[in-house]
Amino acid sequence: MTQEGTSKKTDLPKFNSSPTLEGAATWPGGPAIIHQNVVVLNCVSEMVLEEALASTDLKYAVVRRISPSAVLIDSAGLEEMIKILTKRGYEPKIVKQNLTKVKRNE
Amino acid sequence: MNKVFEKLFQDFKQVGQQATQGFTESPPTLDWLDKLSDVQRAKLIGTYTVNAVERMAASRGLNVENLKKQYMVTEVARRFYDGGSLTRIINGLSPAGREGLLRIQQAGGSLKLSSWQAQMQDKYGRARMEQVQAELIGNMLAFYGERYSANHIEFQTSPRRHEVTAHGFAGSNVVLWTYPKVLSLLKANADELKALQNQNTPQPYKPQPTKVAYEASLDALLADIFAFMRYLEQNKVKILQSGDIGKRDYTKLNELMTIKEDKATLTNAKKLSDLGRLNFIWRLLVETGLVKAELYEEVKLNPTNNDEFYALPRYRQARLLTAAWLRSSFDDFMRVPSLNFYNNGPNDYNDIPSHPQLVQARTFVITLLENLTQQRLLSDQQWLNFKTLLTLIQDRNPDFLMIQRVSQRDDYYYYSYRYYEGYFGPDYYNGFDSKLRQTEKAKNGYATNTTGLKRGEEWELVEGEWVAELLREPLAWLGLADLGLNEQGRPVAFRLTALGRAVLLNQPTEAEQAAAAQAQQLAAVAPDMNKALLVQPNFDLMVLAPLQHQPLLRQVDRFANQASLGDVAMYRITKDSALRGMRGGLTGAEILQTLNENSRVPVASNIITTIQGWAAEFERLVLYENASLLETPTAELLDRLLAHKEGSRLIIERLGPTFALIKGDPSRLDGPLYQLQREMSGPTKKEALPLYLEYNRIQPGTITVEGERTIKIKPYSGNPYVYYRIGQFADLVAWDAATLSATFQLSAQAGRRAQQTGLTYQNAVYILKTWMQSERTGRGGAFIRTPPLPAEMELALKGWLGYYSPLVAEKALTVQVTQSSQLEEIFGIKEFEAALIGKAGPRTFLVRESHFPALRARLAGWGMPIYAPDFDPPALPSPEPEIVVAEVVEEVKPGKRTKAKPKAPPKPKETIAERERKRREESEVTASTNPLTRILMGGPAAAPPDFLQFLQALSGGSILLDDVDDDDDFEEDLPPRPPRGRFR
Repeated sequence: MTQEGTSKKTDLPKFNSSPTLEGAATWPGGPAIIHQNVVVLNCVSEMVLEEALASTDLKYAVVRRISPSAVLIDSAGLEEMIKILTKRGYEPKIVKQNLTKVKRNE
Repeated sequence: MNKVFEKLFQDFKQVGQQATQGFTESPPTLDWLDKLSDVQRAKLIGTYTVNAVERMAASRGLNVENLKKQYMVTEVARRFYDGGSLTRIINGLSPAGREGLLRIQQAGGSLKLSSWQAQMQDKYGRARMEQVQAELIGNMLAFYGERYSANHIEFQTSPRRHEVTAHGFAGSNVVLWTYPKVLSLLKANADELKALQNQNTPQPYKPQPTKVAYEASLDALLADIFAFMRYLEQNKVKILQSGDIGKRDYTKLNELMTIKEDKATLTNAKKLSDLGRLNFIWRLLVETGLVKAELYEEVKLNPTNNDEFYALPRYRQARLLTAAWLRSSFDDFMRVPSLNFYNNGPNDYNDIPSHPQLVQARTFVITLLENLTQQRLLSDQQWLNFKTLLTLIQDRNPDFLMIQRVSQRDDYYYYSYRYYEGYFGPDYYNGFDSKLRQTEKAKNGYATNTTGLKRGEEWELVEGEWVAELLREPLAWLGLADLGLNEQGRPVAFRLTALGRAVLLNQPTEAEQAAAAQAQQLAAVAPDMNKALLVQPNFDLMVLAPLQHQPLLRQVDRFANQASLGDVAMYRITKDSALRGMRGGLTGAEILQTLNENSRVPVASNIITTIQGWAAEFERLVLYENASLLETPTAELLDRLLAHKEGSRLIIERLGPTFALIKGDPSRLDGPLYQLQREMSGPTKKEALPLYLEYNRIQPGTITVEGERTIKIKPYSGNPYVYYRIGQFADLVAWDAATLSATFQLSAQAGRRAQQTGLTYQNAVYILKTWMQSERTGRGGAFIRTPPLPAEMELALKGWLGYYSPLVAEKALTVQVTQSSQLEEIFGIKEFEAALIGKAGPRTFLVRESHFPALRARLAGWGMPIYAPDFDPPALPSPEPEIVVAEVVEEVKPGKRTKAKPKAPPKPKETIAERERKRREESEVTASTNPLTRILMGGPAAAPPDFLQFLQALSGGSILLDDVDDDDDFEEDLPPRPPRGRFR
């Protein structure tokens, strides 16, 4: 965190080379996309997310960054990640969505 | 109401319906007695003496003078079911005779003779009782029989004939039975019924019993259920293979119970079903569906059922729990304290009741009690004679739990397995005996009679004790009844509680009705006074009359720690307890709402701000699992969707300019998105359809592997999760968003990154192989397998992901020895450790070049010079040979005999040691050509040296290198073979 109180943005591409890590999966004129069965971590502010990214292994589990304060995270090893976050004082409130019907594109 | 509760209440209602129909608890079906053939009837009548048959014949209007018995039997058998005669006889019965027959009728058509005689004798005296017996038998309104089951009554089992007043059976389970036609013609009037019922009810017990087995208390049970549920909610309790919770959990749970198991029982218990009350509570929770218990899964609470259960009035809660117990797998028979059980295998070989038998018998007992209660014959809170209850049950249906007699044809198992421990014979209960039965011992210490309990005769020690057990534990735990004991601790009395009566009548208790009325009045006058919660500024909570306010208690229990539970339940809110509630799905606002709505006094502001603070802290990070996320191509589209009437309802939260969380089925968004996109970009149908990307189900064939380091994501089959997983251990080299295709390359840098992430070689290969297209192999493509990765890629992945350590190279010399044992001995010398790198074969080792001269000198000093010409300094040419051996050649002339051959230079004499050495070396060379010994010696078959030790260990030392080497020795050690031939 800088002295001004704004957080320094974590350089996620350092940990993963995914093309959609910080970029969009669609483009103007492209289709709307519904990502199903994802795990979303939404923080109250960008600062909280940056703190969590900087001080825990959360940065390795980020599948996508969808906003300054929200990321999609890997569902594999989620329980372990929750334990790590809780241990470091970032216990998340868990909201379990009902599994929705899976619709497939042909 | 949920389906589980509905079913349980329905079951109980059916029990109630049976009860209101009269004394028909599991009515025996004697219809077959109305369908006896002429031959059967003749045989039946033939089992009676001539005098008896004459009387029977007279009753059917025959003139018996000078008639032979056989004729009378045939004629009587023919008129057996004659309705006219039967009506006439029944109408002409004496009042006592009528009562005697009514008793048989009320028992369902058959009644134990001794019981009938006792009842009649009590009222009329012995002489009159015998007259009545003769009246019924002589008029063929009742007969003697030995009862095996409702479908099997024997008419004669010994050659002795029956008299009208005495039966001819040798056994004890003799009944008086009649047939349905008689029963249908016999109509009891109201006075007769009332008189009979009053006599057939449990009689008051005086004086009071010395003590009560367990004080009946539903409150204790509810408190324990509460504690049990709290434990399940706050801990991860898993279901084991047995279908129950494990010992660790039930030991902890026991500490939370109001009535605890004793320590010895708890220590000796191997599974939950070995316990009493804890097991009972667990079965109730499962049967009522308050918990979901699936094999190997974590126990989960069912919130809907819980909310409904705690909202039920108390008598309904008790009724529900009773219904759950009736059909539960709780084994009350195995808990009868006076029985000794033998562990002799499956139930087929013993008489221990099975689950369906127990359910049926419990239902019978509850039906009987319900019936008596509904007819106001069983008043509550009055001690009643337990023995009279047993008599009542025995009269109704002695087979309610187990069949009292086993016929020969049913005794297959008993004959087949009679040598099992605990088998006493077909006439006995098998699998257990009684502690109450004193066995006489002879002088030699052996028992003079069997310890087995005889069927029919010792009913009270088995079925009677089981009924006592029902009253002692399950019914007392449910708060329905108490069991009174005498000074010796034997059951003598029982009483129904007010709650028990309410449960059986399915109506609230008077106290409950009064409390409800009072609460209603109070609510009208001072609504706040009706509230049960007191919230104090120091975070202490008090729930007044907790068991009357269970829904509130349940709510408070979710976010506060219980300190005590009595007339007032004391709780304390802490940060941990509040967080526990929030983890369970509560929000800070919901906690405050519970406090505000139920508190008699306004909630202090410090409590409100603290809870709000905890909630804000907890809700800093919100993690949505299994969520559906919408990504729009432009922020404008999402803006429009949020403004759309239908679309906005399906959005939970906007997370970014182009991202939003979706509620429920995402396909409901298709319509609004289609409509909005068409509005924005015209009718380009393809773009108007949303694309669904499934993160949990990546299809095989999504990726392909090319060359030694390229991984390609197939067009139109990738999604961000695939890129993320591959991006963990490979570098992106090409990306096409329009087709969702990408190309990655493995590299050392990416490998290091992956290692930092915690990814291993196995993880990476698993990902690749799972998402690669599998291929068919075998004849006709019968097998499907994942194609192997290119060898170079596999090796590179292992290297980059840290599967292999870096290689080390150094200059070394190979040295060959002539015997493997020499090599072992050289390796055994400590000073050579620094010089030796390792073994390169059974007779080859590697030496560090720098250490070689020292090693060579050392070995040479021990008489083992190493021939290494490359390391020797070049030899200087000597001007004169030191030793010159001159050859003397004599000229040989033809025809002239040579006088003497020139002498060869004498060979140096071979020492024994040299000879032995050569022999060993030769044998080792020979052995190394044998494939088996080659493997044993770690030869080209590349067996590691440890393998030799392994083989030696396997063979118990019988395969030794020396054995292999010294085959010849073995041959030499044998005594010389005698020469062949008959004579020597």
